[in-house]
Amino acid sequence: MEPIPRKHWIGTPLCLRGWQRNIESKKRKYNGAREIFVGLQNYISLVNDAIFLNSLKVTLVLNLFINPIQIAMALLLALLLNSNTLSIRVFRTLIMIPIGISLAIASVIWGFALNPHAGLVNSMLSLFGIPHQPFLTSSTQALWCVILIATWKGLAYWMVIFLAGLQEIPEQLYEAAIIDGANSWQCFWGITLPLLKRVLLFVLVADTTANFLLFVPIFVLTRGGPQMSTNVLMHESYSRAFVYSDMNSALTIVTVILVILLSIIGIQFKLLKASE
Amino acid sequence: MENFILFPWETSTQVLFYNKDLFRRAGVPEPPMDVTKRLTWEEVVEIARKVQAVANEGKPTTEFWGFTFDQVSRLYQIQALPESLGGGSGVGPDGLTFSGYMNNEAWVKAMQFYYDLFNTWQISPKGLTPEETPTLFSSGKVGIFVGGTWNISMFMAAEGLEWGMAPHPYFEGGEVMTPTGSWHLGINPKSKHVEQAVRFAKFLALNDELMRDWFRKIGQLVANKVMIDVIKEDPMYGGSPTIFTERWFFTS
Repeated sequence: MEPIPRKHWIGTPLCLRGWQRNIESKKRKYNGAREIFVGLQNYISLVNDAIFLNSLKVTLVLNLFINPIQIAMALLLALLLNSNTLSIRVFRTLIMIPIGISLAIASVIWGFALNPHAGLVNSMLSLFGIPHQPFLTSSTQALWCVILIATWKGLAYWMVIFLAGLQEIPEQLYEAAIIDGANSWQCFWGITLPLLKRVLLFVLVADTTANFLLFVPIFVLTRGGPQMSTNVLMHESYSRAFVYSDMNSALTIVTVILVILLSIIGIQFKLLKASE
Repeated sequence: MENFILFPWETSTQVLFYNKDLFRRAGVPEPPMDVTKRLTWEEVVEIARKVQAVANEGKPTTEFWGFTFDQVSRLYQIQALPESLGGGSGVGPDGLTFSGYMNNEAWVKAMQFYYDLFNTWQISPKGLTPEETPTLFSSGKVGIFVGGTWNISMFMAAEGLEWGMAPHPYFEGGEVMTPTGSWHLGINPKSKHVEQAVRFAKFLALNDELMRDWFRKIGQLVANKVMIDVIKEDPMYGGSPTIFTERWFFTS
């Protein structure tokens, strides 16, 4: 088979290039490297790959928890801070600070704080008589630490978008409801939530995407460990591409991420549109 | 010129660094620099436990540690353990087979030792990256640090740190195995400026005076014989080049 000329790929979008490379597998020699067509073999290999399957599981588990947690907390914060008095504005600014810190630096600082022996978090826990926790060094706790760090960093950002949505809701609606004898829960359920639906859909889709592509805290702190407990698909794809030089397998994983992400976003659109 | 060419530049070896102050407090004699009297891993563990217990005044540690590797969880550093027990490199002769090579008896024993350092004996801190371990030693919190010679300049600059060096340990009854690696000045034959690059590489790598200063300031072993002169003159190296040169001749 003739080697496919590299020029052919220049100018095609990255995702298409990924697709092309996925259906061509490598037969690398150090001189005159060439690639051959293998059909769907890259995908078939993945299905039987225990490391990939574990990585898929970790990614899904992470997203199953991190997205509802972040969205619920961001909405709650936005509701608490939805007022324009001076003290609330000062408080809002304080909560926004994590947005200004790079995630890489935040991860390093959290890494110090979560140190199992001399970390700040363990010192604070010991004030309440709680024994030292292993945190990032434990295969059962590490993923939760990643959730903590990513949420600490991302929460304020989603909160701001919710706040913008809340401030759009006309005050008269609440006044009218209160005159009719509605309590605050009924106001939230009957006015706030329905009018926030468009904002909610945006936050849901954008947050899910961001968390499916979450990479920095894992790369900085755990490298997918301990015992692959934080080895999300993005990290596995990175390792295959840049540690093991297996670009085709890495791009196959990226394509899988893309397909999963598109299906989840499709479902989210359908659910929130259908109930309108 | 058709081939990729390299000039030898730096080389390295792994040695045992120890904190003289913590050793003194624990009443442990300083290990000799002599390669024929190197410590065994069994002795290292025993010393580390003693040093750690005395430094922390018998309490569970959050501050002082008996032992740490430089490059924790990297094969480069850890491979010497199974190799010392006769377990081989962990890879089969075809370069692709791991089963039977990375899980043979010696490898299991070596990994058990590595596990015990952190969990059973608890003399090594968990959750550190290879970037953090040298600073832990240079801040005086570690009794024994087994690591690369590139750390020497950092330890020399650390204020109040009294430290010494000894040869890399081995398992009792096992073989002496020390990790090593080297650095080179590479010249790409496809470059437009091969001639200039060769001249520059010669200026660096074949310049005795420059290499002598480089070794004195950086501490990293250099692939040049002037290193031996510096080691013989400088009391820090105990006047004995053997601890470095046993590996030096292999890599440069």
